[in-house]
Amino acid sequence: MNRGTRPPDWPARLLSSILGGGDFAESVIGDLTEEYAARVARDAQLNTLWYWRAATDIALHHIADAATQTRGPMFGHLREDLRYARRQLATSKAFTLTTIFTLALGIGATTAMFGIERTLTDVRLDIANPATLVHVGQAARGDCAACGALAAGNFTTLQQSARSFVSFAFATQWRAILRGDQGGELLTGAHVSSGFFNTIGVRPLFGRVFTPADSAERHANVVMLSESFWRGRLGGDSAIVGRTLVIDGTPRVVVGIVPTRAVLPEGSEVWAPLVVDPMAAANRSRGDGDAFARLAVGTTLDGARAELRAIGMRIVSQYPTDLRGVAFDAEPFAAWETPSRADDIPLFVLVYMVLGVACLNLAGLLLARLTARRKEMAIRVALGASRARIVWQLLTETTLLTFVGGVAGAAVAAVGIRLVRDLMPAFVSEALPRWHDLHLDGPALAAALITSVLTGVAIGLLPALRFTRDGVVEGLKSDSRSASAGGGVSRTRRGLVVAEVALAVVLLGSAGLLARSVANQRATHDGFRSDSTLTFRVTAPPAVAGQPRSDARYWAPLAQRFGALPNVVAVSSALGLPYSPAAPTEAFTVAGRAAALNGQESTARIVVAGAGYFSTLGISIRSGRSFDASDRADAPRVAIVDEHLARIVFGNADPIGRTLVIDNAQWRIVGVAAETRPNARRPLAVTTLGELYLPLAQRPTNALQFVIRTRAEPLQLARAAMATVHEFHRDLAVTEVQTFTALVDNASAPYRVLTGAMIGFAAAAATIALIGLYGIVSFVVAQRMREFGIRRALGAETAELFRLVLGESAMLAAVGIAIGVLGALGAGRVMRLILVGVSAADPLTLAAIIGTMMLVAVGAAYGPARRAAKADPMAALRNE
Amino acid sequence: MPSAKSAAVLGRFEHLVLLAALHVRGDIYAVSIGAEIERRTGVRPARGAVYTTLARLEAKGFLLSSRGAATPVRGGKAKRVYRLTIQGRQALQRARSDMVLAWPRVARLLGDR
Repeated sequence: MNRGTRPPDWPARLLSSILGGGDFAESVIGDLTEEYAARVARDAQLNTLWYWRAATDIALHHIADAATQTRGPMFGHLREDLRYARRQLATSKAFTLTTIFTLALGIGATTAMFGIERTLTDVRLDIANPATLVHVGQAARGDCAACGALAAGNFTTLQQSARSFVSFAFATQWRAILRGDQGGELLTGAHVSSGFFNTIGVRPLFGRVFTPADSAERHANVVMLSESFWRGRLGGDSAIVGRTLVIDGTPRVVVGIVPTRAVLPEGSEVWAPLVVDPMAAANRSRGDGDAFARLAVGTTLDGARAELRAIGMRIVSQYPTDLRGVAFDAEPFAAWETPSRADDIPLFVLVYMVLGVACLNLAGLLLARLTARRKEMAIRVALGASRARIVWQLLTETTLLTFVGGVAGAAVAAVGIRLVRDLMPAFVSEALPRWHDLHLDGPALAAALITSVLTGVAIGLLPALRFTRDGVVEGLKSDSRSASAGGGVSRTRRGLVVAEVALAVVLLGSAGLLARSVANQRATHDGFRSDSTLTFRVTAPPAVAGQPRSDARYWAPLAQRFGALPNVVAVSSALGLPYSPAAPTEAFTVAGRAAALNGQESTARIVVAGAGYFSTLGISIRSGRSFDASDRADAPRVAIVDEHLARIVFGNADPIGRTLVIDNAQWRIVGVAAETRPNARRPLAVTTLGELYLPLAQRPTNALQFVIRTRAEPLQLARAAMATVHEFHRDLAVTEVQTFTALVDNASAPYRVLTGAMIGFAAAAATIALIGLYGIVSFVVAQRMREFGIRRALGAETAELFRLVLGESAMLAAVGIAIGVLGALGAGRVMRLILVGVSAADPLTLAAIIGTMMLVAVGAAYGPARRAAKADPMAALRNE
Repeated sequence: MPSAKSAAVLGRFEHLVLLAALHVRGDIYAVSIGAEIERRTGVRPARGAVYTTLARLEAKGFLLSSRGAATPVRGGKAKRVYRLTIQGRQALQRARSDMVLAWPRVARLLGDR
């Protein structure tokens, strides 16, 4: 961090905003930049730290100076108070540093989380008049809590008959393949209805949007590109409009650029006009794409929804078999656009627990400090200071302290967020569209500072009020006595430490359970081989006739070429390799049986299996047979189910020979395969549904995952394999090139990230609790030094005193642990759905945590205990 | 610090800053002033104090500031360059004569010890 020649960005921005921007702020930042460069030039160390300190110093002086200008009843003394506070804090460095460190951890974690949350959820689009735009969808089972995609046929009907809307937009997913010199490149795209951009209200950055003429089939060779694709991949060439790109093997003219804040559907890079072919137009049941509509002037959302429901009932009565129970509904665009935040709540709870531990610790430290300053307070009161004045002075002190802690916390957050961004596995970060923009922004920083100041006021006020409540005499008296000060205060402090330990135990408990769970998953073997295997996905553009690619004509010849590469042992293919998200889930029914009672029973993960799939992956066939050469396209359709599905659907009955119906086509079950993903690893799997295998020969597809087992290092084969694909057809796109092992590992990445975060939070909480324990024990020891001296004079052994102090710490820890274990059991129950092979009340984890915390307690007390044991009897007696 | 203080009186640190401003070679700005004070007193002043004092001295009319050069080493940020005004010089002189008048007596008192 100290190597850079450029100063850190964060403190500069923070300082600039505190100084109120403008010329003055500019000159100050410039000065710091200059001095920073001079330090780097003479090889000074810890330059970043220096920068933070300098920036903090300037900010504090500025604030104090500004405060003197504003004179209110309380602010009149602010300057004095601030100066006094500064001096106070400077004289007790240990206290100040401990406090700032504690706060930096607590506030840093909170701020980093807040920043991550903001970045990931800030996906709002910049569109015209969002209030009148709605998302229209259909839901399979009557209730429209989760209205999804709309079928093309239903969209056409709505467009023709709904009167509540002035215009409609429809977008279907498009995996577009851009022809390039090195091979095809897969783009995320959408086919959109002619009125799409005008309905949404998108103004192109350049060029124009689509017109109805573009959607007439003959003219369908135009595309629009996203701003980020245009800048990133085409160099932002402004002469782009009118240029031709070959996409899906067809030359297409670029007519316009869509600005970044108007990209819909999310993540799209390329758009083409939607041409609905007659077959797709007949579809009523399956969701084809997202539909949007503009409310007509004077129409309310409720009115529109009522009309949608009426039209829906009419459509359903026309297609009773396809659409039984289906309903149509609309929701405001903003509600559809903003994802539910419920998933983030657990992480936030964790983060606030860390902040809570930090605050408890801080309150304890402040109490201790005030105890030591009782006499000072009493004297000030005796000299005529009002209670309000003293409370205000103490508040100033805590607020200053927490403000510095907040600034340090912002630094921790800035570093932390960068670590999180860079260390996140690519698999996860690619799934989060804005991950690489991850940064701390103004609001997140403001939140950190506000949190810190509020924390200061909250935890500073109570002790301040408590201490000023007792009279002068009490305060003066207390110091002259040798016994430990105010039993009440001591009790409060002990309570705080117990609470800290308890919270830390809850966090440690959750982290421990997750860590054991991860270990269990690692120890469990999958029902297939993934070693020495290269996998990648090949996507083909749609064929001209609109039919997906068949195995015999297309995929088998390609597989043959892979087989000819050096060192290749076996080649197979599938769509829906274990742990890959590629497989679609589809509903099916068992022929001759009444419709399924619930959704779970009738849905399966469909895996299209190429020739030799089961033998190449080493998936055993438990009964019946595997697919073979006789299962040609023109032969009767056959399927294989996995044991999981067989158990759910057929119970103990033999599934072989039964027939499943998918989309009106019949598939006869010929075999039962072993489960690829055993129960222990299910939380990692994309879906926990059973698997239904269909032969590639009978189920054509435009995308296929290849698995190539090799004698050599799998990734060495990648280049040759990609060249083979390119030679085979120049419009094929290859993506997701990785070893099979990596694919499997990636599936568990989010789980491991969560576990890592938990462990980090738990470690932070335990560290803070350690500091808290140390604080109280050394405080108590310092107060009882005289007592210990007397005990020694009366014949106590050093070992006895040592044990006495350790016992004090262990006692506090034990109470905290006891409470914490109860909390950890509760947290375990909440987490049990994602735990694998470990019960929520896992004795081993709990024992480990109890042991760890007791060690922490002993470690925290070790230093103070040694001090106690060395108590000097002579000194004690002399003072008596 | 009483608020109704005469604008003409120099505080100790203000005094130091004005003296440093006289001595600095090249641009007079916060960095060069801080360095000058350190060179002369052996103590590095708090950065924040230099800025607030410069602003206060300008408000009192002892200094005048203008936007200076923005060099690459400053990350393209302009300097705020100061110069001493007539009033500033007068204030220093007044402070000096106050001290000169006050010191002989005090020196004798100290010497008596």
